[in-house]
Amino acid sequence: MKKVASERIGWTGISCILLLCGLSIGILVGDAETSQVPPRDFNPPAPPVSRPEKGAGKVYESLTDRAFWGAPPPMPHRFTKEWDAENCLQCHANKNDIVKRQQAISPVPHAQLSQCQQCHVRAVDPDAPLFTLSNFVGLGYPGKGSRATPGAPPTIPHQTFMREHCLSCHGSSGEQRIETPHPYRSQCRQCHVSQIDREYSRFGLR
Amino acid sequence: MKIARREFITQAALAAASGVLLGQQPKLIGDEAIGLDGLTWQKAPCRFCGTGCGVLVGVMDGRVVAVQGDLENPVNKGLLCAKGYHAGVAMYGKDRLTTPQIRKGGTLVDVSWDEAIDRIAQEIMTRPDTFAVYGSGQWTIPEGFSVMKFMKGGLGNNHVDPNARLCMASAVVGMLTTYGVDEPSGCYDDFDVCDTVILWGNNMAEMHPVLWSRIVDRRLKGEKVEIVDLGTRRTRTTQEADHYIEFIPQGDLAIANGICHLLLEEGGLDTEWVDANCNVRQGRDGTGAPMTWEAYRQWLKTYTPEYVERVSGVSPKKLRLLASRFADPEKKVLSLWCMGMNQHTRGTWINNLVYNVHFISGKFGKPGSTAFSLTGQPSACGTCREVGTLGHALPGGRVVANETHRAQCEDLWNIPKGRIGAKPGHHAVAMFEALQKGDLTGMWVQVTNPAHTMPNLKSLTSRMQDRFVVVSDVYPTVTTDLATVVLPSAMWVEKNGVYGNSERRTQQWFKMVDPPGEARDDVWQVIAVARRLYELGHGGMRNRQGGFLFEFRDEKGESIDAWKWEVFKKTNIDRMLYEEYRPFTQMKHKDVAPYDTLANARGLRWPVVQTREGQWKETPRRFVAGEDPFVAPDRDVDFYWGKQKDHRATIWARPYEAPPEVPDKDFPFWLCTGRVLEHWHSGTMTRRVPQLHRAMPKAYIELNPADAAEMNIATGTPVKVVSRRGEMILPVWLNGRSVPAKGSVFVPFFAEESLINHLTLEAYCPLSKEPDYKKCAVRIERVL
Repeated sequence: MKKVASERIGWTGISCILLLCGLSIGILVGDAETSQVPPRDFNPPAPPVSRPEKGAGKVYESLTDRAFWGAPPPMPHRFTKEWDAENCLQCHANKNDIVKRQQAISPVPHAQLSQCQQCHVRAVDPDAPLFTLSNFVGLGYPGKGSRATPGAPPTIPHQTFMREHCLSCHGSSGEQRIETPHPYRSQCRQCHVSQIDREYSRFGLR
Repeated sequence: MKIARREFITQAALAAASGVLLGQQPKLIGDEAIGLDGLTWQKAPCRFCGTGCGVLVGVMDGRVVAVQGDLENPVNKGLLCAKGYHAGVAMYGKDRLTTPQIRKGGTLVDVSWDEAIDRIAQEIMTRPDTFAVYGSGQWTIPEGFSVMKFMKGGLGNNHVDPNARLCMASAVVGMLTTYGVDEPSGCYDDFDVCDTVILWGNNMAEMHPVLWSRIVDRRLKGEKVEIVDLGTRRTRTTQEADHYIEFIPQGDLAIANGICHLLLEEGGLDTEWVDANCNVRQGRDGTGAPMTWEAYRQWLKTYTPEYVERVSGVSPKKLRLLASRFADPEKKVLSLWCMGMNQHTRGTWINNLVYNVHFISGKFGKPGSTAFSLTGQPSACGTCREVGTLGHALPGGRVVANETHRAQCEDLWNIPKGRIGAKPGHHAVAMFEALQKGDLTGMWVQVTNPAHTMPNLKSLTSRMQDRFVVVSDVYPTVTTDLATVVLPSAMWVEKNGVYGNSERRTQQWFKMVDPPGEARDDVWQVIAVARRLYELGHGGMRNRQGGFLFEFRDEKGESIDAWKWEVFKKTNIDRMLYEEYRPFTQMKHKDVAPYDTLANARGLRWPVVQTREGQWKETPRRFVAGEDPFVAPDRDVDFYWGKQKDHRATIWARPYEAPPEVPDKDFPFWLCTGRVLEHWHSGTMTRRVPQLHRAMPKAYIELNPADAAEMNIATGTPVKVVSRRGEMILPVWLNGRSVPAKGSVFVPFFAEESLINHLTLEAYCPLSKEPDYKKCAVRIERVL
């Protein structure tokens, strides 16, 4: 695991740079906007008990858990059954109620799909020995969105297909997040427009 | 972005320079779409199962860095499974084979390509008639086609058979005997409109996850889909099913006949449909004498609900439930199956019987009502079945035993009359038996891992190291361990390719990255060996004019030296081979689309014919008026290749027959083997994906909890599994992902350190020659 991780850096510095971009976006958004908005008025839910603890370099570790940005994240915790769309949704449901939705842990960003475990495989032992080492270098974070003017809402720098619920990644919980400073605002895309939207090119609008 | 532009310009210049040869330049998708410099996306079909999902492959700095589902591909509409998302990761295992190797003094030694190619050619020169090629449903269409031309059209040797023989041969012979031509009538569109799904021994949730979602997720939109799971094991699929009907292995034969019996006796027979579209034949032996409808009705009288219960364990109530779904004229019923029915010593029969059920109830050839065979490999359909890389076959639905078919191929290949042999080559099991005995002296294995996946390994593969075995692969496997020559191959998007999926959809992709080290395309390897044989004076490597068998010319008529790697890698030889293959497909109305049309499409389902306006139009449902252009104008449904030349399909009276090995006092359990979600076949690719390997790191044995309790066995306990052929120690997993029926156990086959095929049985269906990996007898012993 560690060896692979260090190889990735060796292969290209791009991932690292992208990570920094990712972090800086978080900082930037935070700095720019937290001072003007009310503090959050709810407590984020506790993570599942069995979530593996991760120390420093958390974001980096998360990226290695996932093969590349856009790959379905493996489940970072144990689960009760080998089939459990229902169990998954006890914590990850994308609820209609806005408060519940905001309190959910990484709510499902693609509620049209029900077979969670066909993509999200378990990663309960991320340090288990590999079958063979891998030379794969995955695509990193998409980087920053752009702003028309300082203080303007940043654009969404990635596709939104399968990422239809922003709080899955930008809410108060979940791995690899850039946390929104205003989770109580539910209509994200009224301000944050897509810089890239594959759906546009699909219909020949680009 | 700049890099991408530069590459793009280079590609475009290459295209302009070589014009027709290269065909179109690769089409980049949304090349401005992602905010990362140099990232490009191109379409390809997924590398793994026969579903044929469309993926977009993200390439940066000459390496695959990401894979996403292709929204525009109608197969998967943007969704992939855990394997598909990681298809790109599977290319970058640290132990990729990058240099040709020859075994010298017991160890594999790195050699040059020239030496490896020469070694193979010298061996074939010495013993051309006892050399075989064992290939794969992962061969691209041009790969399978080039091997067919090399072996059958060049060496005049018909010993070509694929691993697909172990996978879908029963489905093929089922279709051939039922309606005279291979490949299904329906398509995935039927999955969107059916209201009842019958799964015949099929764990779709793990084996065809994206198609499974296509059905199950309709429920989230408020649509009603009833799922009936006929099985011998409770699986993830069962969790979504409305009814689970457990049966005794091989009982499926009786269940299908039992449904037909009820349809005839208690109502549900669609007389109009049957009268218009079917004839009935006796099915116990090969003669297939005609049968009257009344005689068939009498014959079915054996299969009373009580008899069916005795043989299959399915209660009359549950059998009536099944029959009622077919009997209801309002219902749209879709039957699906995969290895449960195909890996079966009566695989052809059970395939025939499921068509019977659909024919008798008229649930066929209508939107949502069809019997659809799922496939396990990405081009088992496109290559093995359509190109016909089987011992008895020739491209486009032809057979070597037919003189006219041979002559047609000799004309299309421009080879001398009489070159192609009339005697069928060995089927897979017979091929390995012959290699074992020494009747075959050499074998070239491509894109497959037989020392892992053949049944009863000890009896079929234990002498491979004593023969001349060439293995073309991308990673070391248990088969390369036995090889004399190992050739490093290009994988997936490291080469151009064309695959054909389960719904007759032909999908093309362009090479996107270079193969690592000295790895080269399998097509090149075949052409290079053929050229070396030509240089050594092998007459079979010449065409009618005395030129080279694999003669390619550019638009100026200049010869292309495709056997030279520097030339090959700059030329789209795939396009030329595919266009050479295309005319073969027209005889049986399997017309595939032109290469350049495919390059711009997300696959097209054949028959693809040109309209008067010049558009190429695909066919969603075959044999159906209004969809299939080859249906006679006066017919609603036209089985135009029906065996009796009467435009009808055949209802076969196939009886129940007990399996060859049944549990007894000494071996009291049924053993079933199969796949798991995370791993694909022998795991050589998926185990090299850290995320997939960690999710499913080793093999295990599933027991029914009641059986385990009797033996005082808990999860994690190591037990010894013993069959008449071999034994193995595995940890027990109880109440895990699946629960086998009482009296049966399940072991996945992906792990090379736990080769469960040492225990499986090599008995096969006498018609399709497909072995049965799903049932043999074992005993379980406690260790310690």
